[in-house]
Amino acid sequence: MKIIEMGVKYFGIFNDFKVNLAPGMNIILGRNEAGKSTLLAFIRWVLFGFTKGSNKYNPPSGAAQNGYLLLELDDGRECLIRRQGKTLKGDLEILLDGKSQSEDTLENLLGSITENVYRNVFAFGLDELQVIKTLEDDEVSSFLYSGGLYPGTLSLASIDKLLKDKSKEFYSPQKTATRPAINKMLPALVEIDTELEKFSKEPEEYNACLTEMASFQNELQVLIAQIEEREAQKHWLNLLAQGWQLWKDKAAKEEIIKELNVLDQFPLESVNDFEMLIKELKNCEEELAAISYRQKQQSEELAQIKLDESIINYQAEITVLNNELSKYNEWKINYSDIDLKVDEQQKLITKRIQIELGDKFNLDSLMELKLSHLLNEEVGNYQEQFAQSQEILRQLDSKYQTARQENEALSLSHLQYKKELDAISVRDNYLQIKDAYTTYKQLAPSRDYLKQRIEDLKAPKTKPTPANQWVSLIGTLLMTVLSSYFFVLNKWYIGGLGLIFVAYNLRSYFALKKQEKRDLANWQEEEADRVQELASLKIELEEKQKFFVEAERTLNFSRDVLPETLTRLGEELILEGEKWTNKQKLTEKLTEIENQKQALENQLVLLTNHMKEEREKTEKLQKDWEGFLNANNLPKKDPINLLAWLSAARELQARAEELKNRQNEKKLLLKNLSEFRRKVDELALNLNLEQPTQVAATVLEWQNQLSRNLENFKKKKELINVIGELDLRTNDFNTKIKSKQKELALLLKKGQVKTVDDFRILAKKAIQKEQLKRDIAQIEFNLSSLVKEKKELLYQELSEASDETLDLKKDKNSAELAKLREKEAEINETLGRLAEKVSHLEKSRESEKLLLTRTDLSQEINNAAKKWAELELCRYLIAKARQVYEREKQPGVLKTASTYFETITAKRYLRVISPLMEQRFEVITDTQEIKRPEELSRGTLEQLYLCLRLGLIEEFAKHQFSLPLVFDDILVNFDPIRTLSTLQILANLKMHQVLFFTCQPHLIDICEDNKIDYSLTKIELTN
Amino acid sequence: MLRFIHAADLHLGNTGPSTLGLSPKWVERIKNASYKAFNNLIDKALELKVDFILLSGDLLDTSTPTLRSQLELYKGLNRLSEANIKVFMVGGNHDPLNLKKAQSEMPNGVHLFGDKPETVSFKKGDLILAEISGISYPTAKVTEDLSLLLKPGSEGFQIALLHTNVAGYGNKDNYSPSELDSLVRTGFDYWALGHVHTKAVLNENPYVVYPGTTQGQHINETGPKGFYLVEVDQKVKIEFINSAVYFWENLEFEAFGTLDKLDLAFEELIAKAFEIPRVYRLKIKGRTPLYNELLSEKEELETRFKEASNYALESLVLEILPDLDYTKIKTEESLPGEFLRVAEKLREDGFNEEIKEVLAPLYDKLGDILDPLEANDLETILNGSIALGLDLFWRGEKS
Repeated sequence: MKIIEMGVKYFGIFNDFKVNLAPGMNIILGRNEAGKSTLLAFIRWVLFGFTKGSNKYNPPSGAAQNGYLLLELDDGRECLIRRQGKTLKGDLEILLDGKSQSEDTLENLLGSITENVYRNVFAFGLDELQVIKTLEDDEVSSFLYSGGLYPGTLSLASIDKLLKDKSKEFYSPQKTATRPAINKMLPALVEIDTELEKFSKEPEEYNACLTEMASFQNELQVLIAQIEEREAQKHWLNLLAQGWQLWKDKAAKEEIIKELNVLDQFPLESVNDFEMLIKELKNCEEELAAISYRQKQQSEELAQIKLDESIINYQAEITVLNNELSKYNEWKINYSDIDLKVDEQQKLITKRIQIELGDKFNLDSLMELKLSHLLNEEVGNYQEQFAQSQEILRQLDSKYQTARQENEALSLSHLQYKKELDAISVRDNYLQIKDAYTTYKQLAPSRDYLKQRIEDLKAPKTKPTPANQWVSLIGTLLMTVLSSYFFVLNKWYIGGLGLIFVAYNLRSYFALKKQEKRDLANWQEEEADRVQELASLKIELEEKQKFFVEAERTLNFSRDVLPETLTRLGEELILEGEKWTNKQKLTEKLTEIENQKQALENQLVLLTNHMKEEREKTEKLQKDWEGFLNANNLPKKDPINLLAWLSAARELQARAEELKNRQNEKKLLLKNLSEFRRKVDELALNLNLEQPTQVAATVLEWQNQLSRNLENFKKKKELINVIGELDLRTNDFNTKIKSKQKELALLLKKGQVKTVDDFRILAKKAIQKEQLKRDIAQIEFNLSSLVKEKKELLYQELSEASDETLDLKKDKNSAELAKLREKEAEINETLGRLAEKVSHLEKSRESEKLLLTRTDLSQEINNAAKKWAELELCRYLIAKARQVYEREKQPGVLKTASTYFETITAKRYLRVISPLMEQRFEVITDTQEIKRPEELSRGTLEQLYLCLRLGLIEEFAKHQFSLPLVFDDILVNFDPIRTLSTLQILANLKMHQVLFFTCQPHLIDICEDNKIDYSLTKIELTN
Repeated sequence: MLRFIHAADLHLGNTGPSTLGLSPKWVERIKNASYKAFNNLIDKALELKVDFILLSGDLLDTSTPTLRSQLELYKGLNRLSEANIKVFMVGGNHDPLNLKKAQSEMPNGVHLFGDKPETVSFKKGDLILAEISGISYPTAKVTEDLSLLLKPGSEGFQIALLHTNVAGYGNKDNYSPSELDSLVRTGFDYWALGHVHTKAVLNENPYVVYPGTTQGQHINETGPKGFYLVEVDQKVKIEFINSAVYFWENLEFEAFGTLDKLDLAFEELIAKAFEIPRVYRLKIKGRTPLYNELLSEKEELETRFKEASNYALESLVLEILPDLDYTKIKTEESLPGEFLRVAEKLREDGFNEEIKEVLAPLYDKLGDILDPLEANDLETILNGSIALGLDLFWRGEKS
């Protein structure tokens, strides 16, 4: 864009300043303080406003800053931008092709260029030029250093730092680094490896264990063989010990046999028989002695027994009597008992009959009475009937009493109501009067109204009359003439006023006439309505009058009754109305009571008749009852008492019967007793005894004697038999004894002894010898069963053995065996330990676990390493690319800057470069020397910075569009040659409009001399 | 007829990749894989009733093997011994003769060749069916060509058993370096080699064979892993049999426009039925407008797709680039252009000393701890660097 016109209304020292500008280079010449810098600030202000700091450009007059720029845009359109106001930004007004636009339009026009960029790159003075800092703001430096390098916004330095930091997260070659992942994991890996190293010995260890185990197993085999040998020896010695005991035993027994010295032919087999024989013989002799003793006893006993033959003969009779004796005793007791009771009972019953049944009855007449249970039923029936009729009578009586009492109460209340009724006084025609009063009161007002209305309508309304207007008309006429006169007098305004008055009066007159006519028509209409209404009202009044007259008659009112009379009558009627209602109520009540009373009296008559009937019935029943008593021979009693009598009579009858039975029993007992006595007397006679006094005792005595004699008789018989038997047995034993004695003699002979005792001693020794022989045989059997083989060796060794040698051998063997066992246990324990170790090693998965952990860790390290590699390689690639780029290609900005710088310095300096990683510049001299900016002279440095800015401006122009360039005396430090080349460059910036402010007129000369295109504008101080 | 199994590089005791974040089931599967694979091999040998087994070195994972790995080896050998299947084996760089053994004696019927060349015969009855010549590594690092020391016998099928790095095959450490031509010319019928973990039949008449490892240990050992079943009749017939418990597999997804598509892809993957489960390295690559989102969600993604019953995720590698016009940038006279050109040149130069120098502060210093960077690792790192650099160049860009 280009500034065509710049207008300053108020800005700093400027006031109404306007200047037109050309498209190319404009040199604006002004002396010091002419306001060049102010204009520079003005352009910046209009385009961007001030963004910071204080506003130095407020006009001294105090007016608001105000000014505009008329721009020609790159597309040829014109745009006016005006800013005014006292604030930093002021108010913006934009006109594009004459149309007002929003503030956004300006932002769009300026693109991404900010006030800061504009001030530093496009519109600056010497101050800005000299300071490199102004180029280091991010917005600008991004164009300078990496502008065009790549699309992102990260600087190369930050990219490198980012990569480096990231890479350091994974690995750092520094030995002390501990934070990076790999550095962190390495010690763990080393630790695992160290651990694994330990486990690498496991196979060897395992192998060693196996070898050791094999060697121990061999040793164990040898040992076991030795132990087995010793065990066999031990067993043999045990056998020997056992055998030795037997051996000793056998020898001892053989010695005893030798000492016994018994013939071998002693009849040992008969020893038992011998003893048995001796025993039997002794038994027989003893028994024989016993038998003869018993025989002697029996004979003595027999001699002592005595018998009474006669009593035995009457055995049967005595037995019978004895059997009946108990009965006899019983009879005797019963008889005396019953004898007493019979007398007592007879007295008691006789007495009770007299008391309970009355004198009329004795024992015999009682027995004759027939007291069946039917009798009780009949009496019960009578009793029930009596009770029923009594109950009926009682009820009737109670009803009668109640009704009578009620009747008396009703009579009392009737009397009371009657009195009340008599006290109330009311007119008889009360109802009629009340109706007439109501009618009268209703009709009176409407009748009066009708009368009044008729009266009102009778007179017609006044007819309207026309008003007299003449005075007014004459006045008007006079005024007309007067007015005409004034016209004549040529006093036209008075005449005019008069005519206006005349016209007004005439208009009023005609209006009045019209009103009068309308009023007359109205009156006629109203009059016709009135006549019609009057007629209809008269008819209505007549009808009402008829009812009214009748009411007056009833009320006995005269034509003109007073309103007070009417009111009083109304009040009286209200009071009387209440009384009337009361009277009506009382009359009703009385009627009701009278009706109730009549009903009660009827009931009383009915009850009296009923009671009479019931009494007659009761009398008849009494007669029947008495008939029944006579017929049954019963005493005269009422049914209840009779029932009690009957039950007493029945009980006494039963008692009398019982008494009779007892008397019969007594007779029977007496008969039995005399019979028994007779039998006893008879037997006594037969036994030649006197008649006994004590019957029972005698019978018992007889019985005893009989038993004794019978017993003795039996005993005698038995003894005789026993004695006979004993005789026989004595003979038997004698025979037996003889034969046994013979046998004994034979045995003694056999044993070559004479006495029984000798025989016995010899037999004992023979038995002992026999036992010993058997024992020795058993010992020999035991000995031979000790061993299966090597029997001879056993006997051999036993024959040579002694207690001492055997013990010695045994002890020695045991000690050897214990030693071997101990060693065996030791080896087994060692083997067990080894086996455990082997099993532990076999089962151990520790090394495997470590390997797995190592794999995982190694994997992580490898992954991290690859990640590191990726980052480092990326860094490397970027660095390498940068190197190439730096060396072989330059950003557009630097390229352009280099060209300008080369031109301005007349090839003293060839190129400007910027090491890509750093925000600084270097220049390359014609001798390929690299110089840093601080090594350059002031002027050259300013030239370098100008060239860099021009480079930037070109770069901007590529992407955006041109902006007017404003330079404020920036060539002051340039030598003439460099000034010239600079001016040439500025004049040739075809795309850009250049506003070059200067206070140096010689610049014009230079331009003129060197035919540089430019437009000149001079500014003077306006005040 | 002769029938034998040729296997090598069992690497017993290898615990596989890091199992962080996996379920116990997967952890068990991965850490015991080497043992399980060996057992698979033995099961197969017993099932097929082979005559013998050749084990061409690196039976153990390291030259300082764990006790368990040795015991597992002996356990397996004992099983074979009990089944009367002979075993001929040599030691390699991971199980040289000088390693610390857990057991001094080999089981019956197991022949471990010593550090001097030796020829033993395999008989059926009195008939010699095969002669096996072999030599073990006396120490871990053998630099001479041991193949030159082996000479064939005179009777039956002639087998050479050796752990060697044949020139031009595999990219393993160059132990006992040998030349294929030389092997072919020695007169053996079958060179039973070990060392290279990828199965390879280098020559067919005579056979020069790498059976590869029995279980892949890392992402560079993808696909089935196992051993060869060799049948010698009139002809020699070889058949590969898998023993691996799981397969390694590289999985690549283009960086999709949306993460939903990634979810979908994984759902499909989970639904796949594998007889043998997979361990994936998942790579998401290419330009994406979600560059930053993906980077920040990496861990979350890794967790989300960590495993299923049929697969586990070893790692998620993001080789993604910000969504920029690279062709254009590359031609620009701008710093990003220069950056891209420099990076491309590095790639074209094949990751020479230059990159090693850059990474030296870490990789030289911790060379024995860190896995050496393979070409694909370098590729990933370079891609990461490029993406990172560009992202930084564009960060804060005024849209």
